[in-house]
Amino acid sequence: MRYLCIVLVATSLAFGYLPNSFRNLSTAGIFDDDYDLMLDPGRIPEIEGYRLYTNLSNLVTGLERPFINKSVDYFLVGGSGEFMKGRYGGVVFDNFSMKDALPTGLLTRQGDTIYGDGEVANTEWLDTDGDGSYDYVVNNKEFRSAWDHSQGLNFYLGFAFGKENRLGFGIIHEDDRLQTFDPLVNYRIERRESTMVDERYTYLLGDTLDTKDQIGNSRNTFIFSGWFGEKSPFNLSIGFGYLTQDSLTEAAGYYREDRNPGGDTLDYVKIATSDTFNIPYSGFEIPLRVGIRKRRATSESEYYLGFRYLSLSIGDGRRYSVITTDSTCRPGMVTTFDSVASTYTGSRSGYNLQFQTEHTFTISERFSFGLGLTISYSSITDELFDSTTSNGSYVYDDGDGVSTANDSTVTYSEMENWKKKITSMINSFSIPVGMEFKVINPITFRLGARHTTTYYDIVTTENLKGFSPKKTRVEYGDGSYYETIDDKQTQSGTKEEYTPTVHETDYYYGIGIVIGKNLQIDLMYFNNLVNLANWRLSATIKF
Amino acid sequence: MRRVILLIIPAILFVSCPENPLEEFPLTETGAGNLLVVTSATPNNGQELKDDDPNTSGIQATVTINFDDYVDEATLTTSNIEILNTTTGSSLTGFEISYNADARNLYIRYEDWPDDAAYLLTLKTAITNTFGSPLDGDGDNIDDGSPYDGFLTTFYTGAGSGDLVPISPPTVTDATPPQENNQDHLPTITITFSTTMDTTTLTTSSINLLDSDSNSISIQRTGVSPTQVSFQPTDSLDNFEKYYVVIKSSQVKASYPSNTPSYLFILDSDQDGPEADEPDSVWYFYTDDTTGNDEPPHVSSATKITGGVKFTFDQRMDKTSINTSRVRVYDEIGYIPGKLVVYNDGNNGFCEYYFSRSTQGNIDVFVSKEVTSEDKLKLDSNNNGIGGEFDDDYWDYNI
Repeated sequence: MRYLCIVLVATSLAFGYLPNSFRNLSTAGIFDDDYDLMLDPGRIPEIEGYRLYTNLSNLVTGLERPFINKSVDYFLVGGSGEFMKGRYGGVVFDNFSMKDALPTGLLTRQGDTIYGDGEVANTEWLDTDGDGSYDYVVNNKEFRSAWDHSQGLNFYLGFAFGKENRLGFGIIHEDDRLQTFDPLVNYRIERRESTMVDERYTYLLGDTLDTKDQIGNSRNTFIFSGWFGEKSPFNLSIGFGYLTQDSLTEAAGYYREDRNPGGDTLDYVKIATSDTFNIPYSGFEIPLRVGIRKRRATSESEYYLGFRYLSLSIGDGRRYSVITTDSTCRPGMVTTFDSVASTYTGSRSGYNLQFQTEHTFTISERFSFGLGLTISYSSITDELFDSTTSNGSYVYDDGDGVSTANDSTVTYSEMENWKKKITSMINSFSIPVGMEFKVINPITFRLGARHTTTYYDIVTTENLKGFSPKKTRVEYGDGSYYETIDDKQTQSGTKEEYTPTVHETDYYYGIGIVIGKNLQIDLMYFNNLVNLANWRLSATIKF
Repeated sequence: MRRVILLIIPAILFVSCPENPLEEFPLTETGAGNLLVVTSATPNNGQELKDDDPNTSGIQATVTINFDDYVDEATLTTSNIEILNTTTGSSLTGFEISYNADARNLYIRYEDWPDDAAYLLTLKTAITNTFGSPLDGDGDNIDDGSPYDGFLTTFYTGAGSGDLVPISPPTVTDATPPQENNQDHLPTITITFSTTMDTTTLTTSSINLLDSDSNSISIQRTGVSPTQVSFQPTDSLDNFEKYYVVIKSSQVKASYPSNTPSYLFILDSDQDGPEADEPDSVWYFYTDDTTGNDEPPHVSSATKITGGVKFTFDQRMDKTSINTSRVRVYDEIGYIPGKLVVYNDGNNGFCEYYFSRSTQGNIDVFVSKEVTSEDKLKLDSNNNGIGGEFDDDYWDYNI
């Protein structure tokens, strides 16, 4: 399944809004609605009148359940129509920004979970010598932060002109970002111990870690679509899109322990950590499509041949983590430094070739039927080169003021180069069928089914392309040194061939209700007629 | 046409070649950078090189050198190997070398070794292991450079053993007075060497006595032999003072036979083999205190008491010298903050350390070498009668 996800991410033409109307969804993609026409800029002129889409249209994900007030909390507005003589436009805009407070893992005094930014202070009074009076105090403070901050801004803007020969231009913009503050890696902990006998601190501990974890995807695509002819229109569509996918993790921590705060004897541990992990992808896509529709008195046929090329490459991909330690010993002092630096390069590229045909038949005034065939072939190659170098040092001074063999400096280094390659070839064909029939005049019942057979051939290989063994050098205070290399035992290569064949048959249903001239309501997921919780509703205003 | 097909087929194979996870991957480095060390030489140093082909006239024999690491064969050249006939003083030429990489053995073969001769074989530091690290001839893990880290070994043929030369520099095997307290006010400074020395170098110009302010104290040589020399101050030394004996290594030389490498004559004061800048050999002693106040204090015991630790000193202590930075107590958590109660009773000093927090696990204690007795003498924990030395801190674990 993970391969399927990779391929979908790489090849998806998914919009930041629903790419199909409820009518189209509930007939397995056979029958189009005005909303489907609007998303092909060359077909906007085919929409008669004007349409207004709102949050009631349920066009963000199609999964909003208005009867129990479950939504994805986007603001959506859109519409289509002729705004000047022979000039047509269509637009869908949605925006979302949510900052969710999540459980911090901390509890109130009553045992309730604290959300968002939480802080808890605990004080412990101790009678260490058992003489009946408190002589020691321990103060603990713990702060944790738990948030999800997600933002989305998507729009589609289409413009077209012409009637018999129609030319359209569309812009698709998508931008989704998610920033996560995990309480396990965003915290501040303090501990203070003090004696009440002579009122002084005896122990201090501070532990702080701030981690920023964010992912972002954006897409800006321009589409030109032309339809030429009235009865047998011919379609040529071409586009260009710029895509980015970015994931960034930045963490910085500081741990300190002072076992004799304020005293003239030093006894402490200080550990500073930092970690940055960033793999940004950017690239482009080029979608192409040619098609033809044949209109007859009681039937219509559509034939499309589509091609899409995708190329993404890694920009400044890297990971750099550092841990430094400064600590007293018994006797002496130790300072350490450990770093791991990785650089990432690679690319994701490939193409999809698709042939699609659909045929719809108007059997009677009340009944329409359609079927289709889609044959698709995709080839994607994903390569990731990972070069990781580790370095570190450990310096010990026994504090006697004399440089001897008891004093030492240990340094080490190692390196590995890996290549991971995923080659995916996916062939599929699907046969959708759909029908519509009017039960009573404003109500139309819809049925659809789609059988899809998909053949996967996904090969994943990982190869160790080279390494430098971990080499450790110990230099002693008397000038002598010694080096060692670690024995190397590693899994230097793996290969997996994933070649399943998947047969799927999905069924769809829905109802369309035309209420007067100005309102259309489409319903899906109403299998439980007495429980409206799962019902999906889409309302479109027409005028 | 056939040529075209022959070109196309490999091209197709190359293009369609899948990733092979079992392919070999290259090592970017060969290993650690330790210095190259000779583990054995056959014949052993100073032993006879025997003819291995009695049926042929002359001495045909092979010297075998075994290394601890793989040798860069490009550095195994006759120019990096020198065989000196120490009987005649001439270098041997025309020998052949071969190397068995699996066994890490170097074979030095000569078909006509001159009889009744002694030889000094030198492997130069230009010989390296495959990592590029040079030879460490004296095995001290320090790169002393050329010629000091060249590997030396000797052997002889026939009756040539009398011309063997030494392969290591002289060292000091014993010295008095020792680095201790209570030494005589007119001590005899005696230095014993590992080999026969050039006695002309064993003089007051190469061996000095200094006071604690680095002023030279007049001494005279009272005896000398090939392996030993003695000096005495011309005047009585001061009461309970610190004095340094300094041997200027670069000026003290052995009496070695000719054809011995010149750098081997110099005294190896730190006993780690020859090197370019041999440090002087220095030690010190304290003269006796005739007033009887020359014994530094010691920690007699450190024992747990309720809520703390009690230290007992074998002398009355200077209470102002004892504070919480000089007396420390640790447990599993770390330092245990505490308060001190210091007092003297009779001939002993006492220090009670009361903890400011509860403890966990074993208790370790520390007393700094800087604490002093009422006589202002620093703590002596290595029991050489001299307090305040770098290793005189007192540690006791898990009391």
